[in-house]
Parts: sequence; C-alpha cells; structure tokens
Amino acid sequence: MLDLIRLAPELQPNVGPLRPVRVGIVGLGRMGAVHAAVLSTLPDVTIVGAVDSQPGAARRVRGMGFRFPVSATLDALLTDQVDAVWVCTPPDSHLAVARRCLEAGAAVFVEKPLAHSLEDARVLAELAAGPAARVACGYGFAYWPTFVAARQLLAAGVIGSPLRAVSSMFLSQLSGPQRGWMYDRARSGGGVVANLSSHLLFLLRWYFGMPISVDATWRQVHTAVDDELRATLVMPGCAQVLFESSWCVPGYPISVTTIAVEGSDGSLQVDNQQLQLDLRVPRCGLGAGVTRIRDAELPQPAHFYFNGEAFALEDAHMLRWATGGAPPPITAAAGLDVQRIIDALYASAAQGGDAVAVPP
Amino acid sequence: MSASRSSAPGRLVALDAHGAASALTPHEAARLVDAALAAEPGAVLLRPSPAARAILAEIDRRVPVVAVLPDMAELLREAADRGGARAALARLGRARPAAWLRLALTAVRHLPTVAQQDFRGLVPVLIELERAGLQTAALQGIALAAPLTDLLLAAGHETCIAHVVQFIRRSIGVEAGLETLNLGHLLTRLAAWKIAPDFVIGPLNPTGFRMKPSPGAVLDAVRRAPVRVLASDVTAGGSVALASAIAHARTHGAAGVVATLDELVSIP
Repeated sequence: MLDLIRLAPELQPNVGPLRPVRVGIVGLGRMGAVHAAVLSTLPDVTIVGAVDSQPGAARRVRGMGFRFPVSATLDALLTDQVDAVWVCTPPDSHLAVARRCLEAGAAVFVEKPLAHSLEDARVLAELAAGPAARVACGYGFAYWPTFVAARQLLAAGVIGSPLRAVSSMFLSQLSGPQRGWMYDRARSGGGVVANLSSHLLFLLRWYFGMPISVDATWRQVHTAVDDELRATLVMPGCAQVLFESSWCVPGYPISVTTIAVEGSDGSLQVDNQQLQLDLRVPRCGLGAGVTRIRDAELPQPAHFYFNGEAFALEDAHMLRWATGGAPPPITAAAGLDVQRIIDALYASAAQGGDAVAVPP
Repeated sequence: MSASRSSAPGRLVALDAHGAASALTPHEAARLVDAALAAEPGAVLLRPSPAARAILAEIDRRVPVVAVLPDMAELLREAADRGGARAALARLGRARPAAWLRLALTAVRHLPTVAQQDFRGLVPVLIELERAGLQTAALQGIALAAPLTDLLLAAGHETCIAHVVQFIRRSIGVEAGLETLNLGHLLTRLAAWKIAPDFVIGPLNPTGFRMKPSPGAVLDAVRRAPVRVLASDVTAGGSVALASAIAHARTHGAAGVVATLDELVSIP
C-alpha cells in the first residue's frame, strides 16, 4: 500500500525547476512572506523582486532579512524578465495582476481563492487556458502527504465505491470582531469558506469530482462575512458529502481538516496527521481490518520544511511546470471549479438553505 | 562567534501535550515529568502556553527550564483578537515589575532597529516580552522558536541570528539556542556564518521524519557540527519506541534528546 502512495506525482522527490528561473512576488503580506521564504530555499531559483503598494512593505521584508528589491508597481518587476510570479494580494486584485503577468509571458501562481468572484475566476481561467499560459492556484493540500495518500487510495478503490462522507475544517482564528480585507466580502470574496475551507472544497472535488448541487446555512458570529458554514454536497463520486467549517471555534490553534468516507468495502478517515482504513475485504495489499498510517510513515520529499511539507512542494511543482514539466493538480481550472462550489454554497446560504445547482 | 562552554542538558521533557497526554491533569503531567527526570537528570522544555504554565507550576521549581520563545502563532492570534498592545499587556500582567523594566530597557536599546522593523530589534523584544510571563526561576536556556529561526534561515538574515544568540547569552544571561525544522540546512549555514549558539534543537530520528534537506545530510551535518544538537521528533511521530529512538539519536551525535509528554505517555 505504501508503494501505491509513493507513486503519487505530488510526493516525488527532487522536483524543482528544469532550469534556473527568475521569479517575482506580488503582495508581501503573510502569504507573500511565506512564499518568499520557501522560494529562497529552492535550488536554481532567484527572487528578482517583489511588488507591494503599501509604503512599509519594503522595510518589513528587509527587516526579515530578504534582500530582493521591492517596488510599488508591477511594471518594474515585469520588465525584469521574470519566469514566474506569485500573486499574494487580496483576491479582488488577482485577475488584474495575473492578466498583466501573463501578458508579460510569466507563469502565474495565484494564492487561493482564485478570485473574489465567480466572474473574475472565469475570466482568469479563460486566460489560463491559452496555449502558453501557466496559472496555478494555491490549494496546498494537493501536496499534504496524508491528503495525497488518501487520494491515491480512494482512486485505487481501496474502500470500494464511496457512498457518503463527512468533512470539516476548523481553526481558532478569531474570537471577536475583526477588521481588514479578509473580512470584507467585496475584497476577499467571502469568509471562512472562501479564505480557509476552500482548501477542503478542493480536496472534495479532487476526491469525488464536481458536486451537482449543494445546500448550505451560514452564521455570522464576529464579522460581516461567513464565520461558520454547514452544507450538504451531492457529488457524482460520492452520493452525499457533509461539510462543516468554522474559524471561530476554540481548541484549534492550528487548522484541522478531517474527511471520513464510508465506502462499499470499508471506510477511510484522513486528517492533517494521519490516515485510517477499516477494510471489510483485503485490497491493495492490505488485509481486512483497521490500518493506521501516520504522516511520519509517508514520503516527506520537501527540500525545506516551512509550515509543513506542502508550501515547498507546491512551489517546486509550480516551477517545474513553468519550465516545461507536467501540470500540477492545482491549475486555474481546478481553482475555477472550487470557485463554482463556493458560489453555489453562498447562493444557497443566502437563500436560507435551499438546494442550489453548482453553476456550470 | 565561539560557543560558550555549554551545559545544555542531555534530556529535555517538552511540556507539549497534543495527543494522549492532553487528558492528564497538570498534577499528573508534572509527576510524569518528575519521573522522567528522576530516571535521567535534565530539564523541562517549555513553550509558554497556558497548559504548559499550569504543568510547570506543579513541577519542582529547581528543575531547570529551557524555554522556546516566542510563541508566534499564539502572539499573532492574540494580537488579532485583542490588539497588539493588549496581547503584550496580558503577558506583562503575569510578570513582576523587574520584568517590565527589562522589557523597557530591551526596547530602548533596540529602538533604531525596531523602528526599521528589523528582526534584529523585534526578536529580542518579543523574547523579552514572552520571558516576562514565564514565571520560572530556573531558566537555563532560551531557544528561538522554529518558525522564526527558519524564516531567518530562509531569508539569510545572518546578522539577526548572530545578534539573537548574543542577546540571549549576554543580556539575559542564559544559554542561547535555536530550534529548527531544517536541521541540516541550519547547521550548514551556521558553520558558514561562523555563528555558534550553545545548542540547536532539531528533528533527528531513525525514519528520517522532518530531517531536511535529507536524512543523510542531517546526519552528516550533526556529525561535523561543533554545536551541541538536541534531537527532537526522536520517535518520528510515534513510529519508533522511545528508548531505541533516544539511543539512535545519541549514536548519531546528539548531545541531548527531547521527549514530549505524549511520547512519555503513549510510546513504550
């Protein structure tokens, strides 16, 4: 079974750009700094510059020790012959920034969600469908070892046909009123679902395909956006998936994502730390009964560990794609699919929980 | 920068309890620590969470403490919820007036670099702020927490790492350490930068779990490092028995080992 997991393209060792590359970063908030750190450690990668419109941004990243130049406009960066750009600005600016980077011939990595609206996401995905375009969206769970392992096992049919699933993503991010772009729907595109548990939606789509319809209810606890959301997703690859997410529950200093799948021949439960199978029939080299696999037993191929394996792996795979390698599972098309699910969930919640078809 | 003559302990018990040990009362956890340190003298490794402070309050106050500071995740979360000033005041509220004075002095001494948002100034102030709320008399060492160490390592902020080591050693007067999740990278860079903290804490285990850039590179770096390495993640997330994990770490040159409460409870 571990051999099957080791075959996952996302967990291959020594992945990186196929030639030396020059990269830039737009937006130097938390995610910009994370990608700056990870990209700084990848072999054959030079960060040639960054862009941030805030006056203190250059000083802030220099204070961390980064030495790349920071400019206030995108022009300076794009005249510097960059191979790839990481877009880490608020989602309402993703389309405009990505469009200019693509016009300059750069590959683009957009932090999740792909955009603040389905309309922008559609336009961006259309641009990304061009023959030379390379656009990825930062759904890093595609490189999280336990979640990759679960996908490999589900795809191999280890528990038979998935029948139903229960999923959740929780984080103790806030316990009172908040300010800032993330809590402004017009800029961020939503609350906990758009900005946190879209990661979980990516996984559900990756595991089971696109939902056909959803019904959802939400709660605004501390902010003007969704702080909590519960939903049912009807999916082609798994009849019914329950979804629950909150960023204002206590007890989760680090986000915890859990998916439990009941299949025709057994069950699979996966979270950030481990995976557990309970098989009714022997399959994939496993006997019947319970098998637990901890993350420590899975491949850990990242060159540098920063907030886990996933950041280093997603950036390395993005750069391999940008230099002629295979596309990652987090393309703009996948990002658009997640945006379609987000849109349907919010539409249903806004209608008081009515079933809503996921838009085409 | 040469290393001071270090007495970094051979065994540290980390008061981290995320799994099986989280069900223990502070008193029960403290007795577990006592038993572990009775079997082999060492120190407590403290991350300043409320749960860890509650356990520490139940432990003999003479037991040496090595603190891993600052807890950036907690600090950022509190700052987001309550504002930076109130998060700082909450820490100072647990401290004696002498700690307030030390913090003020540290802030004044680092004012130019703090004003420039340079981590050379920010990190010492954060360490002093977190130290203020530790409530321990037996502080033997302070290690810069891995999220900051690894950020500075990735950014190549050599002067900040050197300054933090000197600050802990000279201004606070305890052993200076660095915690990392990129042990091979860090030891290699420290050698190139000629920076010698009193100890480095990083993953070292038989399965290669979290040993970056690769298990082989880590073992090689540990073997050649002049710095004392305290091995963490020794049981590789619970997949190796604690006794053999400790033996493995020592065989490969670790000067000390870190065992968590979870490992003491659940791994034979």
